[in-house]
Amino acid sequence: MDSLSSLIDGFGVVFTPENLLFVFLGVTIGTVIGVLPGLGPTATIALLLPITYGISPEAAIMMLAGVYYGSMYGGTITSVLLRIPGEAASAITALDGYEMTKQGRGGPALGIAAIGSFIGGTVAIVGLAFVAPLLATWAVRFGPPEYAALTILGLVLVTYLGTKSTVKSIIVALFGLLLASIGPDPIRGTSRFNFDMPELFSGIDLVAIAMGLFGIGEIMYNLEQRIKGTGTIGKIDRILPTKDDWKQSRWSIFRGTLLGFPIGMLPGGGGVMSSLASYAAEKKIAKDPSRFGKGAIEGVAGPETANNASSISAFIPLLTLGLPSNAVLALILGALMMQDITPGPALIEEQPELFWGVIASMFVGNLILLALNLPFVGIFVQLLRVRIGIIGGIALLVTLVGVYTISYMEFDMWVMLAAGLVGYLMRKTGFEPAPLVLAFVLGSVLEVAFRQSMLLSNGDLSIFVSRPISGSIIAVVALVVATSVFGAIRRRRGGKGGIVEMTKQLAED
Amino acid sequence: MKKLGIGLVAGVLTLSLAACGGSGSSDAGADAGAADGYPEDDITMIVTYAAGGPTDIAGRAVAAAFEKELGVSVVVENVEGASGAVGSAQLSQARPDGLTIAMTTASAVSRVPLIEEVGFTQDDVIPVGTVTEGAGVILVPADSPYKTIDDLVEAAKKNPDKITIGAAGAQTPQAVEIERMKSEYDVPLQLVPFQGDAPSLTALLGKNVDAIVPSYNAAVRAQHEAGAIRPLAIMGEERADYLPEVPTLAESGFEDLIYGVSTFILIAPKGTPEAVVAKLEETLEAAVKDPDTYKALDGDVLVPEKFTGSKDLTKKMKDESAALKDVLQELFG
Repeated sequence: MDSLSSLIDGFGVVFTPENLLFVFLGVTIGTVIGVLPGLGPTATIALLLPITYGISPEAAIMMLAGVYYGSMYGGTITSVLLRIPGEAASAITALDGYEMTKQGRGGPALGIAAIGSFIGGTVAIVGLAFVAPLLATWAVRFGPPEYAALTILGLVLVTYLGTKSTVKSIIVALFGLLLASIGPDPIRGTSRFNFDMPELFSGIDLVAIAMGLFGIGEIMYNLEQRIKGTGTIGKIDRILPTKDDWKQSRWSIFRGTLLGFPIGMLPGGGGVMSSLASYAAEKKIAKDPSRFGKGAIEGVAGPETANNASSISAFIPLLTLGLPSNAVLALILGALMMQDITPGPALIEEQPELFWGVIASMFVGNLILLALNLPFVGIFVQLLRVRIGIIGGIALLVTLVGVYTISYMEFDMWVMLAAGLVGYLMRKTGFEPAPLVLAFVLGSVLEVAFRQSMLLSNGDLSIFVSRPISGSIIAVVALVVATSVFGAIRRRRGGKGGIVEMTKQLAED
Repeated sequence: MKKLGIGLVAGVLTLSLAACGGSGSSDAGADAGAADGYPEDDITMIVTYAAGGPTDIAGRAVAAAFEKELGVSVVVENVEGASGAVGSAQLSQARPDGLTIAMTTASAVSRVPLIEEVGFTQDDVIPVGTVTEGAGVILVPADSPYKTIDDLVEAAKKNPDKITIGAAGAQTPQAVEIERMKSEYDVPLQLVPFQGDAPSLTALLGKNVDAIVPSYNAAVRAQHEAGAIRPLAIMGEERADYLPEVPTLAESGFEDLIYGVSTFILIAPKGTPEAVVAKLEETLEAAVKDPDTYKALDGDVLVPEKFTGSKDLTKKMKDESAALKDVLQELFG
């Protein structure tokens, strides 16, 4: 199938009033919550999930994707102007972006971020349109051993790349695996670990857990954090960067795209990781690293480009293998599964409207964002005046109704509230909820694939290494584990290390 | 957004129905014989699987035909879980006035309660009639060395537990027949359950399993027409019109293996007045033949030529569960 003509068909799908509306809604909501500190894209998408149940799968994914990459734009605004990162992926931008604002160059900082985001996003969309079909064709041959190896790699990377302590990530991921084992035994079909509660026969609902952990947990946590008043916003004279700005940052944008694209596809990667890695790379490459933290435009351009590129490429593993690479994509998987669409290698062929429509919607969405962001920055900043208490109250009500309407089970509401409490406590104690949700999703895939492999090989474990693809993936797993151990030792000794180590250090600061 | 609104209404409706059921269940059925005037209100149709899936698509198609026939709204509500048993259990507790019906699979009613404590038994519901019937087809890749079902059986006997056969799930009717092939006919095929027909087809095309047992659904049909796969046997009682040259398992030496059929049925709560059941039955018979519904149901393949009504379906399901009770409890108990 020709990607180009399919993509044109995809635009046909986007340009219906309904779908355009949802793209517009998605990117606008994304920008808004990007601006609002506290509510990140994960929480927002978790809260929006039940609403997508009622619209077509295309429109649902277009909107949720729009929220995701839209938040990457929006998060920049407050990072640069107020040093309050609207969401985590833009936190690193605050270092140099805010300095630029203090030097009266806030406008160009926002401008270059928007332009970089647009370039990174667009290149990533093109990459997605060409890489995904190739990967899908290849992945058709993937059998259970390959899926088992891939999910193991995913789980290892999720804990290794987790931006907080690796030990805590492992604990959280293990807890997620345990939760995933509740409910139907995927091979025998019987129910297990259900404490004889009928509500648990089919397991715990991903949506209820995610809405609790991310949505409610984040709201509770933020209610506690008094966010400093809106403060004064530096005057913005011009938005468009100067020729010099552009000269200085074009290679950063180029590198940001190159870094962000693969990091987005990595399990456990995503926005935060890609912006940190890009910042680390820019600093390492710069002729004069001391400029960083004092208003270096590269420190804005690179990370903002990278996080946008990653938010697009993150869709590749989900749409071709059915494996989400980060928490946001796990939720989008949840949205697809609510509509009984299980993404996998066959998705592009079976749901061409969904696949190409979503890709085309990303082009449209990025254009809308570019048009939305540059002239209306001032309006979005006003959003900071909205009190989190008001948003929180409304959000709580909406989530409770929402989670109930998915399967009309009161039980799901309790699961969500409990997950919310757990999410709140985790945040307070420095545990990240993302590895839990990813492990919850990957855990079910892993169990199915592992046990199917055992049936295929009649119990012989060598099936995982004797097949070329799964063998190679297992080798990568071994490599990652080894690197992580050596990296930890080296860091303990105070060595400087490569970009991965620098990224991890940035994350810990 | 529209569907969400309906969903909310349906949610409220269920709550109020449940509330009524608590207080007024003793006089339910007292108004038996009063099918005139039925339905006096909107109907709720519980679909016992997720929205967007095959049961849901079939359920919504039938619901649309019911609306046309009966002139009231038929609100579809998805109550998924436990292979369809959660929604069926909920149906069994609904007020038996014909205003709550459910679209489910025969196995959710006749098999799952034999395996699992799901809060209802087959006797707590009345099967109204068959909507679709999809017989399992044993399929191999076109370049497979197995040309006939005998080839496959022979290979399995030569290499016990080495010839792998994928199914849509361990408890699907087709998988159970494969297990019975092993226990009752000494054909040691290695069953590998997948999470639905689609992943098992992918596994077959990727050469990860030797054979699969899906129904002849659109994806399978497309692969067959493209010449990528070869059907070896039909797992129902009789040959299928759409694959007339393919023998049944029964005629290939496995007389008892006739239950490898996925059947979608309509059910009503126990105590629903006979006249109302008759009215539902009649409406369903007309519904599956309604051109739009027939098309949505993939009628040429899945809608049986002869409609099976309440009485026959009940007997059929009873026979089946009597025949399979021991096997099921041994396999999954």
